[in-house]
Amino acid sequence: MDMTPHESPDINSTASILQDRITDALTPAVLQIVDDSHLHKDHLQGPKLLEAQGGGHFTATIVSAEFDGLPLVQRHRLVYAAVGDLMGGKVHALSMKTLTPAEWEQS
Amino acid sequence: MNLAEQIKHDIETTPIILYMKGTKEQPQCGFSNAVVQVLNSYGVEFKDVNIFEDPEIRVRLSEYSNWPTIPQLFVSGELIGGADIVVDLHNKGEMSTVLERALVTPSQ
Repeated sequence: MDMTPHESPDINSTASILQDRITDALTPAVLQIVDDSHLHKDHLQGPKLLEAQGGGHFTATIVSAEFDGLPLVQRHRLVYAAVGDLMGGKVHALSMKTLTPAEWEQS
Repeated sequence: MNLAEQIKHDIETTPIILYMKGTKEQPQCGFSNAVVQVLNSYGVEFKDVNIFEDPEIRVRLSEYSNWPTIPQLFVSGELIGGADIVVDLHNKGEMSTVLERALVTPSQ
């Protein structure tokens, strides 16, 4: 499996800030962040204007030993805590796969 | 009962409750829709709450659940997760075990 980052976002991008915060909090062995905001342009139309103030949509794959022994809800809470005020601000939705190193080896 | 108390009451007394964007008949977000589709595939009864009905629902819900995003699925009073977790449990074949808890836990 290719372990290199999917892309190298510029340092001011939301993806880059996400990367920094998750790295600081969880020291991940693998961290891939993909900005898929372009897939959700429909949020900006019609009744979904409610969503328009929101930020981008991102998908993160995070492999960290911090997840060892934790159920998925607790893993996601750790990530949300790391991301902090980006949620509901620059980040509208953060889809995530949270794996321990052992789970990653098997995947 | 104020809204925060109402949310707590609903979560604690409803076997399966989904806070979502839109309704189960007409989801207004792909993530909410994904959870509805998973639940429907098991043929279980569940209550849906449309968070767009009152902007305060979302605020009070997240305070209660310590979870920042929508949808949120609760079974027998316990947060199961959002769309990622629900789809993941479904794909791993663990969702039926989770939903069975709703059947064995008496509601008040």
